[in-house]
Amino acid sequence: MTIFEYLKDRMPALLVNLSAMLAVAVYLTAGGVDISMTILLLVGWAFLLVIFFACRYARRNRYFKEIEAIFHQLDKPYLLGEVMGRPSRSEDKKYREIIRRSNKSVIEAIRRLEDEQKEYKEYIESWIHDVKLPITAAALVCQNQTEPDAKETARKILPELSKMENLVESALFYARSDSVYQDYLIEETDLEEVINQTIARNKSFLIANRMTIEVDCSCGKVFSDGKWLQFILSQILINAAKYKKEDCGKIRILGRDVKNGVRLSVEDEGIGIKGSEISRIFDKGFTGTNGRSRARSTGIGLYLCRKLCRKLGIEISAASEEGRYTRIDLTFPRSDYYGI
Amino acid sequence: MYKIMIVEDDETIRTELQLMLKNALYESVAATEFTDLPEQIKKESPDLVLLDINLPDQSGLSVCRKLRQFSDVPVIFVTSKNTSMDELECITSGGDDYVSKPYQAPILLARIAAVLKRTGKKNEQEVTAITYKDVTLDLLACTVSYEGKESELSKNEFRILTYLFSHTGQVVSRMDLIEYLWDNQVFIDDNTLSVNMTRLRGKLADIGVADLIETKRGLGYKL
Repeated sequence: MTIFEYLKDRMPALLVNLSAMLAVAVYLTAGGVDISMTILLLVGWAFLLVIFFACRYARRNRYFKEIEAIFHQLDKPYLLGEVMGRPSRSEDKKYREIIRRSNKSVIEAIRRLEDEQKEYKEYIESWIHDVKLPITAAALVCQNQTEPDAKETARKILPELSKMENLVESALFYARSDSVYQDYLIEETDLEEVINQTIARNKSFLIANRMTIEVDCSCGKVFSDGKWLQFILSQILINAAKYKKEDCGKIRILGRDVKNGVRLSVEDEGIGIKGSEISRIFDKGFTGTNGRSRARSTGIGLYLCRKLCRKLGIEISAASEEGRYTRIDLTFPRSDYYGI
Repeated sequence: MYKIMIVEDDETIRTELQLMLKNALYESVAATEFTDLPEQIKKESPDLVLLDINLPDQSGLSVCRKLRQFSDVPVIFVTSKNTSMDELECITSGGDDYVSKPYQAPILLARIAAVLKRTGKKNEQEVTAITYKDVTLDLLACTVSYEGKESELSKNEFRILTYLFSHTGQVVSRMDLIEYLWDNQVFIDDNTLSVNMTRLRGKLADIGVADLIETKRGLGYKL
């Protein structure tokens, strides 16, 4: 609050004082009092007035600054009414009461929304677990076929089931990618094992897309969550199969020790990504030229990858040349005292 | 033959699991009533139990805890829940392993084999070499030999030959072969398989074995 703003609010009081001063001056002059005496009185009056307003201004200013400071310290600013302290002025008390009441209704609205969201999330989670049952059953039926003809049909259904499974997993991880959800267990993880499990999970889809994969993982272990890593790697492998150049494709997975960590590169020989689009591939809902023209993309897969990577402390980056290759690099940090 | 008991309330999954285990040469029994499960398991005395966590009216975890009071039969939990907490609970309840749905049949079979091996229930001698028509495939050294001549095989060639040697007399389709290779960490496509096949035949010819692998056009290969 500036001094002018303060004085503007105090305009009536100022005007009353000024007119009173004028009236007194006129009265005293008319009563024959010496002009120097009148001026002395007016100067004294004005002096007291200035001191009065200056003190009041300083006090009000400090009061608002304190509230301002509290407001900035709060991580939930809407709780201000509860913590702003008891003012001495009854006008301020009134305002505080109004702020508190208004905030209370906001808090109630937020609680209600949070509850609704929580319920919805719980429903989605349980739905995902339920829908996995029929997928499992269908996959088992397919895998149990031994007759050549039936096997051929099963080989057409299995990749579709694999796609479905991945979509369902995406929904689950999307629901879990929220900051409040802490469902991961960081432990020493063997990258090669994670890679093999990921490939096994997407086997039917990758075979149906006629992919060849080379795995060279001569790096140390990393600290991460295997389940989350599998999901992240699945998205990258599926993308490589989706955006292959011809009717078959090649993926090279390379794990190497680098300074302070391990770098895992997944490189394909696919259609690549335009230079102008590569910086946006991890954005939510970004589909790009490839996503629109080739496979129907939702723009969720890589977005989730980056989000999960951030939570696991993995650095994810992409490099590509259009028509040549796409490479996704995952860099796992490792503490310096690991080797000691 | 190992006897595996399935405790799973979804009927389709139950019957398909039984079929899968039968195909993998395991004997299987399935619980159809979900009362007194620990007693039932005790009566059947299987070598391994596949236990679902979400059972009607009870949790697989509590079944396992009760079972542990009198038996140390290996238990693999099978569930559609897959949070880290669930995993932890499975282990603390006395489970030996944990597989989450939807699982791939080869993965589940591999886990079963691993648990059986780990818990020391091993009854067959491991095969170290297979011989067919005087051609010997050494499973430890990854070599193939014929009349004293030996040739070293690459990982891919070795896996291809292992599969053909274990299916002698049968026509093996290219797709079956590719799926087997993928289950054994050789991730190749049709074209690469043809290249590997040609190289393998070359190596066999070098040690004097010609026409060991027959090509059945449109069907696959036969040994």
